[in-house]
Amino acid sequence: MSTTWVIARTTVGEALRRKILNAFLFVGIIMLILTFAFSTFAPREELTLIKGMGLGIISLAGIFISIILAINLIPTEIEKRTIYTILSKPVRRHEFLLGKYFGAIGTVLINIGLMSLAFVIVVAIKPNQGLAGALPLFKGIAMIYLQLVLLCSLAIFFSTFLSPLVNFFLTFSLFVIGNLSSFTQDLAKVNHNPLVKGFFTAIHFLVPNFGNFQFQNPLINPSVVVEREAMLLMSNTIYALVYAAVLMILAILVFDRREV
Amino acid sequence: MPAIEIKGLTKQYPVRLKREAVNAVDNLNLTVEQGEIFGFLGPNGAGKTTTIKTLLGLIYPTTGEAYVLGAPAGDISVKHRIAYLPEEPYFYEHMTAREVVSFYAQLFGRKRADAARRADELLDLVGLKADSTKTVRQFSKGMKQRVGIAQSLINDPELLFYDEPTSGLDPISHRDIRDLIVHLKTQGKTIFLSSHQLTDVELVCDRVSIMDRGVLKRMGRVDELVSGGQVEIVATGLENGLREKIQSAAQHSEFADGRAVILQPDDDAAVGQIVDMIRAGRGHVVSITPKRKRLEDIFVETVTERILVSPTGGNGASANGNGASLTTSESGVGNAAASKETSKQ
Repeated sequence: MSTTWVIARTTVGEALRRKILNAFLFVGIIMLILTFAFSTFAPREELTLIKGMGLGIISLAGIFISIILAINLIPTEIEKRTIYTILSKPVRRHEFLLGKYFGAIGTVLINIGLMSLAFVIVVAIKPNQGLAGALPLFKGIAMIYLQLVLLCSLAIFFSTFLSPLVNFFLTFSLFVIGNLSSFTQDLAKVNHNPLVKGFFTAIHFLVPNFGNFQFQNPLINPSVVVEREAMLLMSNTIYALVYAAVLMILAILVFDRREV
Repeated sequence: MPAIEIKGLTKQYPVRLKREAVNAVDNLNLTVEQGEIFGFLGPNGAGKTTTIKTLLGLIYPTTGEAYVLGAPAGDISVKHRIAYLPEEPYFYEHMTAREVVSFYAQLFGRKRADAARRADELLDLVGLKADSTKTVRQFSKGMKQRVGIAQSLINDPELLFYDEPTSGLDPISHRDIRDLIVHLKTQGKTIFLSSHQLTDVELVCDRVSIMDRGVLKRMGRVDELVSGGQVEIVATGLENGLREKIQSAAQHSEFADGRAVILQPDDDAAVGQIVDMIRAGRGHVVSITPKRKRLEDIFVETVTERILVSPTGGNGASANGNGASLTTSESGVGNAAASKETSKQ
């Protein structure tokens, strides 16, 4: 575990210096601060708009940071040959892979954390909000983070055998399809052709259900009440962790036989 | 127990869009004893790095077996006892030299403070103490190579794989690293040295092997390979009849200005035969000088032999092992003779 931790820590250190990721973070924070300018609307609408935009910005920046970071982690190590000196040390391949993965989700956490800080400050300084009014937003931010953890797992799994370019399009496509999970489920239900039905059913069950983690609505609109909210958050957490674990086990199996 | 044992190792890579495979390494048999410096030579594309990567468990053999310190190649327990310096090592460039070496030390399970202490010791040893807080990005190639050497010594390894450790270095760095390799040998370390610096190899190695297109062409002790050269006999006062006799008996002879330069194999009987003929013919032996071969000559002979004989004459690894079909000998002596004949043609 200590080896994994050492690699994870180094991965975070390196990732935090990547200019392209910092550009997404910077743009994200600037846009979050700019939402403060929406003061021309009625206070209620203004808050709805700021919260909706804020969560959207964090999610979008997080998606790009996660994909760009995760698709490159393993290929860059191979291309730059840093992996040779690491794997010639007493480091098991799964320790290396998990170290990179934990480094990736640690980096995403730091990025999301910084954007969230800016977002919460923007919301908290609005009249009648304060910190207490902003705190419930963390439920939405936590769901976004779990979604990104799952996205990183998917990208790292593909990175063990695909080039970064192919991986980018595949991961991004699956993310979009995974967000339309209820739609693919409906298509499977209404279709009578067994082939088409089987196809959409397979997509619905195999592709991670990224749509599960969209928790913005009850946070933006106070009128929307989620029944058994705690249960929903818990089941989403378990779903993300189990799915990520399965993807990482598959990634380890592939990477263990991969020639570097 | 040998430090390295390779039995019938073959590594094939598929050729894209073709149904054939390329043998990067073809049926390699090799043993490296503990405590020796073993030179692993060959032109680019000979299969040296592929062999080293197989021994480290970075890639897997197609067929055959490889053992390092008695365990199968890639065994994690053995990695505590070995080290690897790749050709042109790359490090995380945002880190300082101290952080880099400390990072690698932590991969051996050392605590942070202990790893930092070990990093300081090693950076001092390789002459980077004053630059230990600079980022690797600011380093020259020679300095990076020194960081590479430092990271290879963290675990006080029994066996070191050095791939082109002196490539592209300035003379001072070059000499320092060569001296370090000799120093490591005095400590009883085994070093598997892949290098194109044949002068260094000749100076520091006990044994060498020469690979070409994935095939082991020659292997033996350096002193044995470079001996078995020729002896130059210079004589004067040779009459025409004697000249003809010498021409037919000698391996090579030249006559000019009343002076004869005769080359014979480095063999007492062969040299004695010519000397006796000169004396019997009332000639005068001016000098007898052994002409010692250099490792570079052996290397060039071995590699150019392929270029002269190969039906394709091309470079690179052999497809399905058909290309490099020249004889492979572990003694090197038989091959040396064969290659001489080839080079005379």
